[in-house]
Amino acid sequence: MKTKEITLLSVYIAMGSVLYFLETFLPLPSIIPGGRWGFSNLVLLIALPRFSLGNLLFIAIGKSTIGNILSGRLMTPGYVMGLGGAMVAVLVMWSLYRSKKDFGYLGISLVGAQANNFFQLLFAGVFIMGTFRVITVFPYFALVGSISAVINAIVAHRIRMKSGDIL
Amino acid sequence: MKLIGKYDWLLIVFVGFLILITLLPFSNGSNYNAFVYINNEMTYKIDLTKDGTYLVKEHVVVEVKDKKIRMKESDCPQQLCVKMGWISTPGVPIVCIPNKVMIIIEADPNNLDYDVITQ
Amino acid sequence: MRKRDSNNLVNKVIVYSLLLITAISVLLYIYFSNEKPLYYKRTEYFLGTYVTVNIASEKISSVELASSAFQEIARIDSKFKKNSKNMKSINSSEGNWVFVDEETLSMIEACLEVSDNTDGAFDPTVYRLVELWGFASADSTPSIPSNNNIDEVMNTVSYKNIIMDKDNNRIKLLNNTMIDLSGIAKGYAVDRAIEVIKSMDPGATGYIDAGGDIGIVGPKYGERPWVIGIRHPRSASADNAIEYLKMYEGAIATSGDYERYFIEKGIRYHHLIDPKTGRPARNNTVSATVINKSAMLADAYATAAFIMGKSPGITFLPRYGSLVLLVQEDLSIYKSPGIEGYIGK
Repeated sequence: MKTKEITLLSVYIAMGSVLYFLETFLPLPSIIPGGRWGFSNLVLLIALPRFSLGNLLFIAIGKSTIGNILSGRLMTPGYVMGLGGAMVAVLVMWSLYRSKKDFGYLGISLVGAQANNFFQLLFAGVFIMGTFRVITVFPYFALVGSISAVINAIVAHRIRMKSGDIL
Repeated sequence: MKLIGKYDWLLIVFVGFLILITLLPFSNGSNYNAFVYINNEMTYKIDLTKDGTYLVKEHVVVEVKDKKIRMKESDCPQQLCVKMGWISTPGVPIVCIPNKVMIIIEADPNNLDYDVITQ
Repeated sequence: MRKRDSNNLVNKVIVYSLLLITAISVLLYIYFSNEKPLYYKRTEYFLGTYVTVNIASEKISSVELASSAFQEIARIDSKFKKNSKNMKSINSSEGNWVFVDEETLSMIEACLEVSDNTDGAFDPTVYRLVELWGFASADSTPSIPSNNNIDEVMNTVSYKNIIMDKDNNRIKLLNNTMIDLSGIAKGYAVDRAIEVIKSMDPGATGYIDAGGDIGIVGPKYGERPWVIGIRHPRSASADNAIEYLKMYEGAIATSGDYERYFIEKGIRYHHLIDPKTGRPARNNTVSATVINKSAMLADAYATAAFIMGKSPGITFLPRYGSLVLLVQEDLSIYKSPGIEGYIGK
């Protein structure tokens, strides 16, 4: 691994964890404990064109873990949900990006956010609430997630255009 | 990568479709059911929109009619469960203590003028 | 150059209209879905009846809260049911001092206080009579006992036969009397389960319903009252309400002659035995509902209120923190002053 790559990865993880942490202060009227807006997925979106799948997963794991340490929620169900959700989102966004079809930030960000939500609700349903019925709140989370996904896409696009090789 | 790709509309439609699907009432058929618990285990789910009688346990018969449910027959000595008559709300369950049978109705959000019954 | 500008403009319009649409749909969705129950509800069989825990928390998983509540309820059920070790050791003490733990002692003390306040209308020693009438267990077949049998058992029934030595944590039962705490344990379990939930999350909301003894954990959605229906005593449907009460906190319990009864020669014999006559209380009252801050006290005072009926004594109950609503045989309703504030739905 090149020095530059290591440095970049740590910068991404640092940004992601801070966003993840700050996000916990954003109010979100939520039925399920641990529901969040998903702004920390911004770093994954910025990182998407630059890194391999392995490195992207590394960023996802890093930001969820450190973000949860910062907010004192390591090893809670919320942590497992956030971690799994971020990894699923990376897998989906990476496959869309690599599909060589002309997808933009907006579409990939939207689908990534939904994949994240879907996994988290499924996890909450099966392991925490013990019922699949939580999926009925998916539209709510999907709409909330879409707002942050659109914002993420715009910001990621801008940053990617302006940062060039720095990030 | 562009902000909006040529095929992004595909993805947007997909997400919208996903939201629409989950907005539809989630469950096969009716949303209005009664659950029969035997020995604290959920044993039967009965659709209250279909009339009928059900033998839930030996000598224990449950009847559904007009979206209401009652204990029709039971071999318990005091017949308290049978005397409770018809119920149609989640406010109070029918309980047959000797047979350890409990009938609980799932919430029908359109038909609630109280949350719970004191008796 | 020009082409790029117009492209940018189109992009911007698309993005902003998308944002606008999502924002509006989120608002609409929240607006319309706010009514959906966020509550986790579980019903299990305990204390000889159904127990429902309906709970919501923003801090802890409500499933976890409900499980802890049921654990506490199960503990109380096994400790205070008729044949528990705890109760057996008390009832087989044959007139000798018997040591009891703090919890049992405080329950007996609460019972005696209610008995004193209601002039014996509520009596924790009435069990032998209930048993004689065949109402003690759902497996027995009730019947009218002979006058001799009633008189015989009456000799053992009086809360004054319970001698309490609080300093030494012990009690003594005189005249072969017998204590039953399984009835009042329902309300006690509700009170304790609420304490357990509150200790885990003081902001939790919901209610616990143990066979009609209902304790409020917190207002619905944190702001609205729970609407409690009082069972219609003469309706063919058990879920038909005769009156509605709005409750933000506290507890409510009802005693009715429809719970356990049999009818012989047109006369209804029910399980609420008057300790003074040894026979089902007959005073035109068919159901008594009591609001109190404790579910245990609400339960005890509701039993007492049923047996007292619409008598001068009933007007004293608000002094002991109990508001009363009596339904009479002709379905007219007597209300303690102060209960009007609760009426409505």
